[in-house]
Amino acid sequence: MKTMIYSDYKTVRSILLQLLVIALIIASILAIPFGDTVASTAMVVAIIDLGAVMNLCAYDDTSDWQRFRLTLPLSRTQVVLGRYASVVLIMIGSAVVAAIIGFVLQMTLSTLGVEGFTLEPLSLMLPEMAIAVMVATCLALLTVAVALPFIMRFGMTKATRFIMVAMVLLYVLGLQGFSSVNSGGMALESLLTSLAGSAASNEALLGSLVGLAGGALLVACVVYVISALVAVRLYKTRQF
Amino acid sequence: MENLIEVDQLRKTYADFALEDISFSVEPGMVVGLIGSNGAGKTTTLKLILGLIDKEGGSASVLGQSVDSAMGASVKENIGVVFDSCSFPNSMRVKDIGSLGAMAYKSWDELYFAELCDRFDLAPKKTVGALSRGMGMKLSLAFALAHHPRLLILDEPTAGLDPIAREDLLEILRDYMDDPNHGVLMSSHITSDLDKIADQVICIDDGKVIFNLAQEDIGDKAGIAHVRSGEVASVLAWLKTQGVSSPYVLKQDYETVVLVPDRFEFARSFPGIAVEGSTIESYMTLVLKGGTQ
Repeated sequence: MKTMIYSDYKTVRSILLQLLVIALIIASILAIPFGDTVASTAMVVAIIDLGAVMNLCAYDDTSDWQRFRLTLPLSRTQVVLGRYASVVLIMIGSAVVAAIIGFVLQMTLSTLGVEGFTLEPLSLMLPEMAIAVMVATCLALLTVAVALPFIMRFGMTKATRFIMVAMVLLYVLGLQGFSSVNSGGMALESLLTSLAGSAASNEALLGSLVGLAGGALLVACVVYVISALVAVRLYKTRQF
Repeated sequence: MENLIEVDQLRKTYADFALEDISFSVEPGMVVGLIGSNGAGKTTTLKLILGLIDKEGGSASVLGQSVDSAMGASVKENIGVVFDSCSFPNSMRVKDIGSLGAMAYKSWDELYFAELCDRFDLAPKKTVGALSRGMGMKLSLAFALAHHPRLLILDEPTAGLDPIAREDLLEILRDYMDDPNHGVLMSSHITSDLDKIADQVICIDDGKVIFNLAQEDIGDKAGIAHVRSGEVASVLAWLKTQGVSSPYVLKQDYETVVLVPDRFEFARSFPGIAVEGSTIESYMTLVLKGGTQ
């Protein structure tokens, strides 16, 4: 599995740098109209995570690499689990980088006196960043969890059409499920009201939201593990 | 000593193509060439041997272990593979490929890889994407050799190489074959390379083995006779007495070309008929294009 992670890292290393530069530029531009860096931080995570994974999988399809890789002393299970592990490592890295970028941007823009930016206390900034990073990572993780089994089974080029269909289906079904549970927005509203009501301060409210985002991330991790197990089974039957 | 590759009645069917009952073996100390026209089934055979696709019938074993998609790492440790193009991601550098090999293979020889890269003028910092096709193939070969495998499986390794690079590559394969435990299975369209290096030649056409002969039977013994129309009947009759019941014959505008299994015997029997030594290419062409009488 180490071989797979190493090859993935070497494959995507230069792309990660390019994605970081792109994310940094877009985050800086978008932070100003939003008046804070929370959305920018989340976007850095999404750009790096999804960009890196898509590039990584696209490289598999070029130059026979995915076929040649199977002639190395690697089992098919190791290839799949290595790829899933590589993605997790990329996501951890992007989360750290995004948080740093968010902090630096917030401090720089507020020091420069850009309108709408104030130097918030760390007790507020930290949970805000944590929520942004966790929610974005959660969404990226779920997206990759849906996409990777298709990619491992069919290859990037062919999988794209299946991923599109799966994403649209999941979106529609998710929306339908959410609205039936939420019954006209009442459930979500009552949850937020109850959170706000029970919180003694802004810090306490943010703490509750961090817990909520952490819970969502945990669920996404479980989905990701299930996705890995499905991908292992699918990859074993793939013909190269 | 057990054969490095043993293939018996191997079968695989696609919608428009079928590999039918392919059987051959690669013994230690032998270079076996796999030849045939495009789409004949050479690459499919190699993929089956490497466990990249599932067989539908027959059996295949590599280094004593049965081949399937779950082929063990211990077997792959002892195989070096080169496909018809450089298979590494374009963004990797030559030195990254070396590190990858060190991580993948227990027996990886870093010094030997560096020596091969030096011999091939492969700069460590150059990315795969910046290499020419020929240089990419050299990198693939260096990677395949640097863990000292017992068996090399090469799919068109000389394709796209200039004559000097091809000669260089063949020289390296000759060095590799100094060890009598080593073996090579190599598919190639450039049959002149196989003339120089192969011990055994297997021709596949339309998914079937057409011939499987020792190279000396083709290059040292067989011949191409250029027969005038009036002499064809007597030549065919003579071939029958030699045990060739269905000789390969190709009718051309001014002559008929006949494949003879022993050109020296033929020259003694027909001193007036021109006969030349055959090459793998001329032999294959006559077998595939010529009809049997």
